[in-house]
Amino acid sequence: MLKTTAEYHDGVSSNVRQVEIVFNDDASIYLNGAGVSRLHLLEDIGISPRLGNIPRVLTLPDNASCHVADNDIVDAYLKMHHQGSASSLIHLLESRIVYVIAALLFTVVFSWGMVEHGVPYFAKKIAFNLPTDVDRALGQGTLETLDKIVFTESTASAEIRQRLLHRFDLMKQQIEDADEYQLLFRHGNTIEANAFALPSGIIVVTDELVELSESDDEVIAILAHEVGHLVYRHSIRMAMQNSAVAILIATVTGDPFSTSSLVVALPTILVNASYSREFEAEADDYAYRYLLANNVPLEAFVNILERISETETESRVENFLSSHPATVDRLRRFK
Amino acid sequence: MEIVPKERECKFEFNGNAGEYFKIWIVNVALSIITLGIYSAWAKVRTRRYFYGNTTLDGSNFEYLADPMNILKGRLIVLTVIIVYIFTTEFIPMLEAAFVLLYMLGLPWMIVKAMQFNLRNTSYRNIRFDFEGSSKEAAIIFIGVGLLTIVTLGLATPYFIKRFKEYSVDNTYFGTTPFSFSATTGEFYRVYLKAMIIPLIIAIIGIIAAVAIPAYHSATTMQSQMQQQQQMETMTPEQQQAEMQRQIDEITGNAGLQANTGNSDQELAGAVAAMTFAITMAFYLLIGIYIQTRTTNLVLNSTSLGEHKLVSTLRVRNMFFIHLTNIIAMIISLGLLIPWCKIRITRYRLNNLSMIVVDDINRFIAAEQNNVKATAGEFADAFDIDMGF
Repeated sequence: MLKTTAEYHDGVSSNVRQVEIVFNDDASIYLNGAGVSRLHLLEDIGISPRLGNIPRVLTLPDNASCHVADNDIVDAYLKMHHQGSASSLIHLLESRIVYVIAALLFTVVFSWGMVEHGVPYFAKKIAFNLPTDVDRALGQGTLETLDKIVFTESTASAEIRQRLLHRFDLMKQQIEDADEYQLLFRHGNTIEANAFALPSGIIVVTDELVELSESDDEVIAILAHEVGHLVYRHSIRMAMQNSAVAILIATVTGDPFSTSSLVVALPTILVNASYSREFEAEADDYAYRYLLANNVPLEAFVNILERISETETESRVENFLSSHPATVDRLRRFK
Repeated sequence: MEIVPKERECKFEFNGNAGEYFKIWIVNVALSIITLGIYSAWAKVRTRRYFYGNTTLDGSNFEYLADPMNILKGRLIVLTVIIVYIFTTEFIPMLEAAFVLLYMLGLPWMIVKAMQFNLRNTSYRNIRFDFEGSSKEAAIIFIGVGLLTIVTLGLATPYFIKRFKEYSVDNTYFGTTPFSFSATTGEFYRVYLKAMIIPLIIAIIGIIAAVAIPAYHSATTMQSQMQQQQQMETMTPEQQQAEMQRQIDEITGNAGLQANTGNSDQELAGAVAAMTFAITMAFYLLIGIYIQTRTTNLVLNSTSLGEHKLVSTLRVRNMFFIHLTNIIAMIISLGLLIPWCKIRITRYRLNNLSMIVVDDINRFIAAEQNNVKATAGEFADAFDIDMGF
């Protein structure tokens, strides 16, 4: 027989009565005191599963309830009568330090593994199995928007453009499924010397970049890098990876709390930037192999990138968060 | 002789502790991962039960009673709807507008159901809370006043918040007894107007900095180094780390990260940008916390249950300090200190909440209730609507 005190709530009013609760050996529970005198079989009583040290709630058949602060007595009594094993399993996990450390290690390793390997791996698998139409759909309208708000018509000489278009055609011939790849020239204005690939297969080169280059080879090196983005389906992989990481972080950190939204946003940005740097490195690899295979001097890529970074006015903080790897790291293998 | 009702202040207390909650939290996370998210419904209930169960008023604790199975069903329905949405809009883009319209129209209903689910599953002394607000009134507030807020470019925001809080409080019941709300629209505008003073201070500091920094820059190298040191101290940890990394790179011969390394103008510009970023974020946080704290105080201090009144005494400076240190702690610990952060903010909030009780709180009467499905609550959660009460 075990005995302790309990708070009795009749379920009709918010009145509280302090009673004595007796756990009888014959699997019955007796409440006594403050005008309460009730005897119930253990099997007729609902007992809330243990959680930390919050009071246990014993629900009686008529929805009256009592709160028992002494968790250990309730646990001992339930054990005596072989009850509550499933719910006490969770409490066991939560109370033994060994299991807690195991859960911690599992979570850390899982999160790291997913972000570092799992997400990029699955995104790549899925991307390479999707028809290219999906990429096209992703990039629809981007050029139109950019033409409206950033670009103006190219002022580069027709002769240079013709030469570059010819070499771009030669590049296309070496790639499978490259029929839709297209090279366009635009005046970059605010985006200055730049080149980028839209998922629709359009590569845009700004006049400023052409002017900055000292040879056609330099522009070709940049184009090879951009083609790398297209061949490796970077846009769609990026879209998949970013949403996967956002879901992952939200799942792991649990229900959204007031301050955590900002905290969740920061690692998401950092992880996305890291993915982006990986893609840049992949595109660099592509350019590297293309240049080697076609006898274009590797210095072309080095020179043009160095010249671009000289014209950039971004500060260090932006650089830290930027989506491109530091120029010096990128160029190491080309030198 | 006339009997004078006896007033006394009952404090809310919070007994949760970070170590205990950390264990519950990490097991929740691990089991949710292992079960591919299925356990997350149980995790949510355990978390709520822990926080409610450790909150006491006048010696009795609160209870969270939701059945995890209902929450799981709700989540599965939400997931199904999202998948249907993604696939149908992929093939029939025309339907996107229909979905958005449906979501907009369904939002008030979801909010009502979510509040109902949460309150009906909350009890104190075996008496459940309830929410009886109508979807029609929610629609007037969310669609009508919501549109007004957009049309007025946010000028109607305090009015919108007031209407929503009033609606939330006035339709909440403890057993058969309704809560009542007494704050005026003017009081909400006062909170927002005072918050506007903060950006004014930023502007003044900005102007002073714009004048002072070029003057500083013309000073000697020695002074410039000291200044950099000072800037380091005012940066956030990530920025400090970036700055440290840069300095290490320079020492180890990694200089030339950019062709312009070594140019002191550029360095100064970078440091100023970092500092500006940190200060801007801190002020952004401060404004948010100011509005949140003052609104919470205003709402709670205007709320009464029968003849009992709530009193909230949160201070902006304390809330700011706790949130700021929470953010830093969560970033440094890669999220592992989330449990500690949740416990300390909850403790601070509840330690500053009390109820002025007339006589005692023993005479509330329970009401008959129907059960509410969790789906709407999960919809609201899925789209991140804060139901904070």
